[in-house]
Amino acid sequence: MGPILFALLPLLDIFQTIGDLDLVIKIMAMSYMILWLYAQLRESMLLFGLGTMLAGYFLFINPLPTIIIVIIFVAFVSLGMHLQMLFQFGLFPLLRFFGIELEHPEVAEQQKMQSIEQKVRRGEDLTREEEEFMERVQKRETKYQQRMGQMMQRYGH
Amino acid sequence: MEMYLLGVIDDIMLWAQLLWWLWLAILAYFYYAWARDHLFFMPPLVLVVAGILIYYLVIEHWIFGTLGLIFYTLIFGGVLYLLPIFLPFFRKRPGS
Repeated sequence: MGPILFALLPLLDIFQTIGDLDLVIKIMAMSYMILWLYAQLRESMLLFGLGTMLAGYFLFINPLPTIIIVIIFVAFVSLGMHLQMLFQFGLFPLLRFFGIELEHPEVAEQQKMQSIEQKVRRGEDLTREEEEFMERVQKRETKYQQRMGQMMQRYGH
Repeated sequence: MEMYLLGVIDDIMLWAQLLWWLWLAILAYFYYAWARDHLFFMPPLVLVVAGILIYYLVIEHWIFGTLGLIFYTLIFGGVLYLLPIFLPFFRKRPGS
């Protein structure tokens, strides 16, 4: 059954579709490369033209690696800031809700401390774990402040 | 059955057709705007690239074109930033 269905695939025009989308993806990758080249080399049109030819050459000779590099570049260089914000404000809060901590431990610690302080302000009882956590953080903070005070005495005016 | 009541179907089909053309126009404008944003320094190339994109992603394979628009809007529209605001609805109340 499988081979027969596989043999019938061309009837569904699926290869035609893949070919069309391949062309579209190549053109979009070329657009990104031209945009980047223009941003870098708009002072000298000669270099821009040569760079465009080189980019087209790479895309012709080995399309897949070029497209992968363009995708990586666009995702991490052009849209890196956006990606970071998406992770920080979209993904991490969601994951934290499900008990997965991917953030920097200090950020998570601060947030936990804030929630404990809110609890104290509302007058609710703390669990032993929360009390221990609070004591540990406060102890470290006083230690830090003492050390800073020593530094100021030693080197400050 | 009164046959004139079937005219409702004609109306529905007409509106479906109109909305369909409107959606294709939105899709075409989206890809034209993409080409314009990325190749603004070469106006003739904008038209060429927009033409190719619209031919393949709107006229030939509108499903993939629509998926592309939805994906692009989802990722870059800032909708995903708003997801955590729904979390308090699922959080257990302190009292209960």
